[in-house]
Amino acid sequence: MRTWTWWAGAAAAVIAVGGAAFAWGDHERNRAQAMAAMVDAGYSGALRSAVTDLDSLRSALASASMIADPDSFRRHLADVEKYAYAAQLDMARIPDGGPDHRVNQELHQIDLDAAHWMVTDADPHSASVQDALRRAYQTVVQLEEHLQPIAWHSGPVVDGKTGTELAPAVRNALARIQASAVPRSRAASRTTASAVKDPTPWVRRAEQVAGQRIDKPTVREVRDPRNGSYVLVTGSAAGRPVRIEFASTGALASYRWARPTGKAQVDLADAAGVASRWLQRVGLSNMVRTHASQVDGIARFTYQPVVQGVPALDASCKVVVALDNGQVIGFYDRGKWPPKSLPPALHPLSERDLRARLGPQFHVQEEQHVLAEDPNGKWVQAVAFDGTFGGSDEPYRVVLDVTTGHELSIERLT
Amino acid sequence: MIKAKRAISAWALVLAAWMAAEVSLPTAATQAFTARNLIYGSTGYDVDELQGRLHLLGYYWGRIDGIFGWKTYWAVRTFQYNFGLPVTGEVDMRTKIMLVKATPNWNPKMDFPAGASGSSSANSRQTATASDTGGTLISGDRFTHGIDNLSASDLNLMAHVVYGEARGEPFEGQVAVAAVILNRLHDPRFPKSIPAIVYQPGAFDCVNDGQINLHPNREAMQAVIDAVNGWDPTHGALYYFNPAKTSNAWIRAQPEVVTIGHHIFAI
Repeated sequence: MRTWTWWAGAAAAVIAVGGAAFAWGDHERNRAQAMAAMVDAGYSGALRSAVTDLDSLRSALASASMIADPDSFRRHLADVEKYAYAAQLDMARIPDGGPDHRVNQELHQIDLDAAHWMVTDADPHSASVQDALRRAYQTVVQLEEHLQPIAWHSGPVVDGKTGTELAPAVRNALARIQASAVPRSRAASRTTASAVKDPTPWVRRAEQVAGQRIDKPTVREVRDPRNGSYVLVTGSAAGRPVRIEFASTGALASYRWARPTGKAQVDLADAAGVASRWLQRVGLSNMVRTHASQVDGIARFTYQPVVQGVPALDASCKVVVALDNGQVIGFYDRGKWPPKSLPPALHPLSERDLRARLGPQFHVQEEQHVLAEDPNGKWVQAVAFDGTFGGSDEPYRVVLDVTTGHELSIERLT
Repeated sequence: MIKAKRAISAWALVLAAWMAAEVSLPTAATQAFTARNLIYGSTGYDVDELQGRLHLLGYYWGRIDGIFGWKTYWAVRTFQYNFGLPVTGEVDMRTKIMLVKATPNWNPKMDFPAGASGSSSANSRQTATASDTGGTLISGDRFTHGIDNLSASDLNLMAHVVYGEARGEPFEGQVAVAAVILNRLHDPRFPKSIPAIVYQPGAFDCVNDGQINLHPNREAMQAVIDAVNGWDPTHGALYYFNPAKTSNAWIRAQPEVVTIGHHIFAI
């Protein structure tokens, strides 16, 4: 009797534990399935939204091509811009694991063209505009027709796969679309690095930049097919790694000495003086300081080059100063420099005309003649208005082209 | 002889004290303003006082927070213009003396804008104290202000990615990861915002394994600041991978740009 009871109890316990384990496993399986279905829905949604937005973009491009009334033309261009942007966002949600296709690049160009035509009041009759619209239309039709079968094939898009597992399939499909719809781009070449034949001048120059001896220096010439060649000097200074890059012309491109910084002892204004003198020492003399910040005992100063007394807004370099002893520990140059002389501005608008283009809620505190880049990357003379936005009293900068009066940028000042 | 030396020393001390009194600020100023010059970006009690005095004169209308920002800069310029000083926007000794003379009735208790309470002034003083140790851009483990066109939220997200992906890498390698995110932001093939880039499916491992939710350290935040300020050790790389951890043939086929730490950066 007692043995029987023991066996019955053990069996009941096994059934109870097994049942609980089964219930838990079933619950977990259901949860995992629900999660997978949700992810699947997200990916399917992205693909199907892309198809819908491409279809709307196709209609907007057709409408813009077929109407010459300026108001309607502008309205359709606004639609083109809107749907091209939406389609780009949809494409970004597709799990392709890193795009080597250029679908988004094409959509971006269409978006950019539409914005440019709106800003410049492009003539709907213009042959170049019509040609660009026709090409954009053909591209979008191809994209839509190739994406549609992927988005609407029977069964779930993910089909039990993870996003990572799915990525190669999606990427291949998009690559096929690109092959038929988008002109092929040249494959990027590999960057190569080799030892410099005579490293001594580079090491000497690097030590001049660092202001101290560089131990165990390594000098390599890096050939970058996209950015040109540069010389990289690495080593250590006072036991801490240092890295300095020079353009092939010999100009300093970047410098960083990675050392810990102690308690701030040097004042920001004094550090600014150190930074200016250091810039002169490395051969960058005609610069103006435009911004400064300090975090954790490190000050960073922004400098802009000055062309015939006019600062170039869209070109800047940064100098990093350690506030524990006022040593320059970093320099970064964005590699963008303005022309040596001011670009011509034959019929500049008056200050009054330019101010008339500012909204009533913008209260100007300061205006400054500057050089800036237009949307095509061309340097133009401009006026920067710094002031506050009435609604929030926040500082903003509005930059207008001095010749056309077109807005070049609006930036919240930080 | 010794007496003569003592007398000369005493006279020298008296003379030095008199000269110091002549060249120093008036009494009210010496109680507060220090000798340091103030420029855009300066922080601390000197800026507090500067803002308070400019506010008393009606030139400054922002918060008295001890941070020399744009509003303080414009107020200084207007003050300098109206008082016949060189308009630089920087506060040197001459500007301080003129400011002290123009605000003889100022005292530190006035340091709050109209409508604000005394306690808010105390709060702003705390902010100013924090600013001395880096509180202008970072407070605690968070960015509180944006840089250029990136918001504080963007910078925080980037710091999380840098910490999740590259903690333990050399500082330069951490900057490189942040630079890759920024390079993607400027490449039309990628999404147009930092969150969309970070959360693009399969783009970053730390998003998949949840390490993005770890709190970044100061080094990761400094790396983000350096990348946003223009340091790109990768020269435009769009991808990176750890060759010891990836078997993805596609990423390995991308043209390599540079190797930093354990990561290979590619375009």
